Amino acid sequence: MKKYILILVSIYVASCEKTISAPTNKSFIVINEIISDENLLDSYISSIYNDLYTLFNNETSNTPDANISVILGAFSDEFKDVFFPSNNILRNSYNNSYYTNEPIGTPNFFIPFYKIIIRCNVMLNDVLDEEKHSHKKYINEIKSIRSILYFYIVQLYQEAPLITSSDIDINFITPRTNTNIIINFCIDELNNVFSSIHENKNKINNSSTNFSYTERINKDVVSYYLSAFYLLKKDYNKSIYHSLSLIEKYNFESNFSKKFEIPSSENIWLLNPSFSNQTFLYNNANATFLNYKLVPSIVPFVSFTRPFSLSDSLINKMSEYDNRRINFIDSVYFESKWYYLPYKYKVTGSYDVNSLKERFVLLRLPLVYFNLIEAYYMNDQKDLSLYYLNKISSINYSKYNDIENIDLHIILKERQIEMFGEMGDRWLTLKRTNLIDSIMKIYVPLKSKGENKWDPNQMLYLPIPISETTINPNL
Amino acid sequence: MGLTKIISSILLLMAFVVAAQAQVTVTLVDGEGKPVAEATVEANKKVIGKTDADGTATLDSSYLNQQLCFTHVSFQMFCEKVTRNVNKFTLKSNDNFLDAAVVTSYESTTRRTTIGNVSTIDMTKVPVLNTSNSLSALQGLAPGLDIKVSGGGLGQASKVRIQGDQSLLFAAPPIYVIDGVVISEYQTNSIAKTPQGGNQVIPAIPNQNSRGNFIDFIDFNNLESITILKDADAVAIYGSRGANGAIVIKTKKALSNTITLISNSNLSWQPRRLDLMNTEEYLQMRKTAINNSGITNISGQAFYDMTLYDSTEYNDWQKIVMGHSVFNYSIGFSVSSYTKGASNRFSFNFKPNKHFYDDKSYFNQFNISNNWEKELLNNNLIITNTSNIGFTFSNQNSIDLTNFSVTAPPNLPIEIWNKDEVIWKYKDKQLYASNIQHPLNRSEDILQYNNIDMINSLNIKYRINRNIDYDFIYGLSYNTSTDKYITQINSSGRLIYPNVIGSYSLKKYESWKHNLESFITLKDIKIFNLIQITNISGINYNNSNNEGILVTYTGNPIKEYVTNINYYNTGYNKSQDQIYYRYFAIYNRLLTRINNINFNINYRYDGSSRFSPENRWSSFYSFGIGWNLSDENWFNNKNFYLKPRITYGRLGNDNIPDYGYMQRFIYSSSQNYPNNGIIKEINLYSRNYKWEDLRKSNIGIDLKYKKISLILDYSLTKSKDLLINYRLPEYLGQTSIFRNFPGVFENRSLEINLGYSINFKKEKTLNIQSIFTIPTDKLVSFPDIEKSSYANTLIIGKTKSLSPYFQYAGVDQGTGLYSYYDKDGKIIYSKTLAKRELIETPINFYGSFIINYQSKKISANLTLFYRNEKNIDRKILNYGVTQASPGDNTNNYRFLLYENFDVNNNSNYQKFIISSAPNLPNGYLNKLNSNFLRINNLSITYKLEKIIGIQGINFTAYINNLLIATSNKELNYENNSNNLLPILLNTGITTQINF
Repeated sequence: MKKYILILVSIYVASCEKTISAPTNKSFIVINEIISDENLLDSYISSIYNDLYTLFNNETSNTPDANISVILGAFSDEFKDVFFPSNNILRNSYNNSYYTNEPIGTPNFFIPFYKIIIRCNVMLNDVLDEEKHSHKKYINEIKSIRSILYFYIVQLYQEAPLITSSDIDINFITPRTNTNIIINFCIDELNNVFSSIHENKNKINNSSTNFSYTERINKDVVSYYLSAFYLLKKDYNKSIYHSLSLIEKYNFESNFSKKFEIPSSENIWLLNPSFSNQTFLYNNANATFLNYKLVPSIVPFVSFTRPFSLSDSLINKMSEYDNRRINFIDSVYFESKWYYLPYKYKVTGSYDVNSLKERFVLLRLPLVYFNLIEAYYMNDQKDLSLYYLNKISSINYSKYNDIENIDLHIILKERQIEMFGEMGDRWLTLKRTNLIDSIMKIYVPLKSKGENKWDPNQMLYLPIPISETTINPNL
Repeated sequence: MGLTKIISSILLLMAFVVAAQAQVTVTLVDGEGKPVAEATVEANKKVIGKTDADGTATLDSSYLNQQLCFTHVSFQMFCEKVTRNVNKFTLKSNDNFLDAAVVTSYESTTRRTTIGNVSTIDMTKVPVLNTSNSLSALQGLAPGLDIKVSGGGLGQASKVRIQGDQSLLFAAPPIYVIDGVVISEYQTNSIAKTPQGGNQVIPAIPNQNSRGNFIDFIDFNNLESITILKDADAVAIYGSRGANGAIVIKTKKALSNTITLISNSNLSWQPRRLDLMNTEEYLQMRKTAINNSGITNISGQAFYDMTLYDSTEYNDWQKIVMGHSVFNYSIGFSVSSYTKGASNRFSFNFKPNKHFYDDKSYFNQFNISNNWEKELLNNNLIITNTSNIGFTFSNQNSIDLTNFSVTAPPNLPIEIWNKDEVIWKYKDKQLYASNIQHPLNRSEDILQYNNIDMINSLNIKYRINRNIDYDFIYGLSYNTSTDKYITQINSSGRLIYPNVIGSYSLKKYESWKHNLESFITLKDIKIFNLIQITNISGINYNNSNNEGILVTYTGNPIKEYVTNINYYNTGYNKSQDQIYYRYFAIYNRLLTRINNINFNINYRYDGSSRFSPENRWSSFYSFGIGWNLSDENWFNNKNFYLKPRITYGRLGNDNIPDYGYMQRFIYSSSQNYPNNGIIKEINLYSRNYKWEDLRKSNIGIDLKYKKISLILDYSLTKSKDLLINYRLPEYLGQTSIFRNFPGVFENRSLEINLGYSINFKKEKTLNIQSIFTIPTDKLVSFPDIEKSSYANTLIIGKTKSLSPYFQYAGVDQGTGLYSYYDKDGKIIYSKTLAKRELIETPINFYGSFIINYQSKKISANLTLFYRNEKNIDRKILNYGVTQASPGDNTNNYRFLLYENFDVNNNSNYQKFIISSAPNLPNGYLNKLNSNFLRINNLSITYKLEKIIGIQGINFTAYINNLLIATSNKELNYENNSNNLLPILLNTGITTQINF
């Protein structure tokens, strides 16, 4: 009897394990499938590039709340008369005030930045294997992307957590990290990548991917970010070294109206447009400006159709011979007044991805030049700084006399005219060069019609969103 | 593969020889001479059988000249010595819930032999509630059962909890057991499809993701009994899944040849109205505001209302907010056919519900159910098949308010209240054009929801002989909205007086010095009445000198042994995207009685596919003792019935999503970067999480003195290894991760069920019952809470029902600091709103008074329900997304739909609110207590008998949901959760004709 019971019990137990295991299915992929399949790895990396595009161009529900270029533009002296009654974020940015961690009206780049970083960490720590030769190229790309994200994070948030793990418990308790530590970490990482990343300007691999060298990170992109990081670190010689290596490889695009198209000889890194449906492909970078260009034609409180009007100070800086004045700016005449708006991108979107010639340009040659000019200037090599400033200006102006005496304001003026509306370059440059107080002290009362004053302590960095600090007291 | 093995071994078990003769019959009838079916027959405090549809139970001849007792949910217990082979007894209708039969599907027993915390609801006394939310009819009918009715919306789910939330942060509703088939609400509703459409929706469509409580599709007219299982012993048979309690439902079967027609017509309306502006007043308000803003040109889109509103557009906001009266009806019939040994009951019900908010919306429910039963092999093999199929066709009008949700609509309330005071009238204050926008640009979207829900139960009961029976249930449930089918197999063998030969050591402890052994030796086994059992069990202790002590007990302690194999499988039906949940358990139950003390021991071994293979299996156990004290010889007081009882057990919880322990990615080919699909992470995974550990103890007493009966229970649940959806900040990639948390959460519940009954002459009875529950809960420990994501939402030593409190006072322009009032009215300045004050918001108590009168002609019922809840979150003040500017103290009065974040449920939801808020950040405000007393049901039934060709007609007139008193003047005074929908006052007439 006992024997039969034992047999019965063993039958049950043996059948249990198989019975209980819920089979996996085709609705998801598990990690081992990705590791061994290069197409899937390519798809994985695609999704990270796509996240980058979304982050840098985000434009949710047709409101420009989450667009870095717009928000930081409003924060600096790029826009005027921006008053959005229903858009707290833009209004607060324009007022240079977020009232500490105000839950509404704080731009939230923090979450998307870190979400991509965490994805990079998952890929680096859980998916990719340093030992596998075929994985090396992915590791280089992902590490670069992570450092690039930190490049913006340290400038937007100053002290923010340096998260390099995919372990949620470690990440959760990671506190804010000293900016210099983050910068050094990224420089080390980029240097490592720099030594081993391909220079290949052709397609990275033979898979069906459509990536060309300008769309995916290569040695030149790494080189640029090294130059930018060194500039941030005030290690000017190294910054100059990397900038110089780049300007030798690229030429200025002579046709100003095609600078943001493909092909363009001066573009170093651009991102393909993101589109949410198959019928109409938006290039959001364009849409941000094109959709909101209209000056108040309707009643004041129909909110989000208010204009992005470029500030008088910016327009006044541009001479009539400036090619960028002609090609990068559009204007609208309304109620006896002219309003100016960015017009670098000219096309909102297309029904056909192949006919959509414009791309979101993240890195282009002028940016390298201005980094170089600034680095030489800061490094007390003013003659070289002047040399390169005149070199780029001779291209930008149809009628041009060489500048003879250089100072930082001149460099920044030229840089602003070139880079307005691109990734908050003006705002970040003002902070980096410590000119922010002297400029914003004047401009903040001006743009608020005397209502606000510049408060450098409160307004240099964005607050980490209250939703995050509430849930994570370690932040 | 595994399944075949199970079935083969089941067949092995079945391969016993049948050898039983039936020689004693007992027939039970009620006061009117009608047979009483489904009554439980007990001999020597052991259940030995049940009456069939003729009211007859056929018993073994050995019961001749024995005292037998008969119990039934609707009748008084009756005991009599059986002296003849054919007996007929009359039962008196029930005056006492202590005498009710207890049905737990796998076993039927009586209240007197039960030792757990179990409540039985007599379905004949459940009020008629002709809404789409059937479950709400049970509110207040059992202690420890809390049903929070969400509102009057169609198909809206009630929140059901047995003894409160059993888990800290991932509390789940109880399981439902329908004719032995286990359905978990969590499993069926968690992945309900979200229809496409506008994302902000007026309350005509509350909870559009939900299709109500799962069992709402079952017609309550088809139910025979509902039993609520609450403690570890009672739910042990449902194992880990029973950790949140179980609601056991048994459907009716045919007891005679009858055709019954049931019709119901009723009128529902919201008795509370708001005083709203008329069109003229609204336009006047707009003009005032526009003038104040100095706007002269009122042409264009923003002023459409000024030109169009009064002529072509009229939004009846009274109707949108409060609904209108609506007439609903339902019709149904049932056909019962009965012959000796075979019965079938078919029923059909049609309930076309119209919506009281919106004429375009409807919610039509059909229910078909069938109960078929066949008795074979001399009544020893009973095959039952029950099917319940519900069809829901609904048409819900979703109105997208996105475009104007930030502004005041027309017909603004003339008076807006704040803290019970009228503080503002529009004429008194300056009002600006930007405060009010016209609502004409709304879009409507008709959403279709069609669902089919089905539960089928096939039950085979096989009585091999007096001592062995076998119960097999195959359950299948399916619903189209989740496209999920659930199959399950329960195989139970029951052995009474086990015929086990041999000696078995339960525990052995050996060392060089000591030897301890406990053993059970069964000798002289009685096999099929041939051999008598003698049994010895005891403890043997030997020390090193071999001088042993032998403590033995000789007797026959093992009374009943149940073994049960339980297999549960759920999965999506279509294509390859199958998601499975599998569950397997082996369950053993030992019921023993020594003298007047009942002992229960349960042990089970459960595995769930939701855990990683290394954490998949776990052991669960429970035991209990119940002492029928008043049966002891020395007690000697016939007026008393007294039974103290105590149970303790370990239960588990696997109410977590499937595959959560695996790191999963999803591939999508159709997005973004051209020609190259993308891969995203689905979840944060944790391989290490395991079963949540719940220790549940219950101490109770059953007491009856003359006409007074009392059931008192106190239960304590401590949960460890808290399986929680641990909240994460969003920047870490996902907003939550499942894991066990090393905290301890405690839940206590005091339940009182007090009854008094009077029997008049001529079968007239009056029962008065008071049901009362005090639920409490406490977070006992939570390591490093201050560093966790719950630092700002939970407090050790306090209830988990906490809510942040502040009343916003403004922004300090000099410092940019927020200022707000604390609960004592003091102004506090804070840099962030993170450190908000948390105040406790528990349910203090709830309960009901039930008065029931029964006579031959008339029956009447009154159910009063009340609840006291502390500091519910009023949440009428929320700023939404518009602010003139920070620090602008202009009062902006709003009447708006807004989205809020519920800290306790970790979810976003929408509400329609009336806001008198000054500028506010998103937040919470105005805590106040909620007390209400409501007539859940007042009904009178008149019974007519035997009119030409008709067996009988019952007319019932009723009123439901009549609010008597409340301290909370919100629209939905009952609920602080998902919306402010009112509960409808409802009155109607039901007619039941039996042919």
